[in-house]
Amino acid sequence: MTELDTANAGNPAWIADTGLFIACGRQQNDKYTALARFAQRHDRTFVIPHRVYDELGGAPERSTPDETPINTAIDAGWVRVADPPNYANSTVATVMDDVRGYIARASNRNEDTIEKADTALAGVAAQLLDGDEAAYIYLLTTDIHAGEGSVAAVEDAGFDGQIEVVDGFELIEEITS
Amino acid sequence: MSTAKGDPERAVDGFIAVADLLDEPRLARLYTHVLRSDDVTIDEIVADLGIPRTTAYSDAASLVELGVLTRDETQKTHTYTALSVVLTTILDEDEYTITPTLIDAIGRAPRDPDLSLLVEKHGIGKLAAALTYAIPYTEGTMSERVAARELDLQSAFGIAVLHALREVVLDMQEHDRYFDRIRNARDNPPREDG
Repeated sequence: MTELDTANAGNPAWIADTGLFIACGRQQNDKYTALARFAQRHDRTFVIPHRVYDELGGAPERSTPDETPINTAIDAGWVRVADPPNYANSTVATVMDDVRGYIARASNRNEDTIEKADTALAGVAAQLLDGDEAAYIYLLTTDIHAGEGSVAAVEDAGFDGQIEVVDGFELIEEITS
Repeated sequence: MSTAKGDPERAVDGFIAVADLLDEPRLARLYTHVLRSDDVTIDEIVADLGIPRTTAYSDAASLVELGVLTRDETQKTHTYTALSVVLTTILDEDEYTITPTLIDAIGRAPRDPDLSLLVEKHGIGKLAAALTYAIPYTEGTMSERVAARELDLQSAFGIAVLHALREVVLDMQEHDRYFDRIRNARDNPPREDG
């Protein structure tokens, strides 16, 4: 039973992080195919922050992310690049600031070492909820601890019970076993 | 090899054994396979690792010679057991403790696209540094992008390296008795002047 099969609310959105695609590609390519099939079978589109798209595209040659056919996935319609986070939106800006603090504390670092772009996942989540484009968010990530920070910050911004983290490693395990 | 405490001969021989393992992924792979399996025969090694029998024999003999494997000849079919190795290197103010977990990562590198690319571009030192991030990452106390940035790797590539080393950590933490002695990057933020 995949968590994603239980829609907790109408109009959910699935936001996918860089690590999800890498974890698929690192195993074997059939895991990537399984992810595509999973998305298409359930008629789902994974939304990715522009940051994720840039990261996958900017990876060194011969690395797993470099071999990830993200453009094919976008053309096929099961991955979509999100609009850039609107920093003028105070909800979005607050959430992204909070996530920075969370990541810094959890990784035992100074907040000024965490880049704004590290919080893109939470920014997209807040933007979709705030703009009523989605009523519930599934965050698909292999960066569990950053994912949990995103959930805490989004809930604090007034979207309590409207977001959860899905462990990318567990999801891949489930859809390929 | 003598086992007397404080034995300089043993210390230097041990250093050479570890250096050989770091330099030869094929030996590293065999060594950590035996460490995880315990009491294995050549037949089992051949089947598990998919290597030719002659290679298995000669590599196992090399590892016995280096003092990191022992061969039990009391049974009709000889079995091999691995000894845990640990080596702390100190260069000026920089210190690193090498344990079987790093040796396992080296053994996997040739078969892993991301680890082999990392070693090819940045050397084994970078692999050792990445392992210090993979440990808190696997425990859920280090963020992927913080690790990638501090390792000075492109984000997505850094994440791929962390994923590869996560498998090493998950496989080795129970079998590496010196696992807790590996440096943990969460406790050691990079130096400001770095």
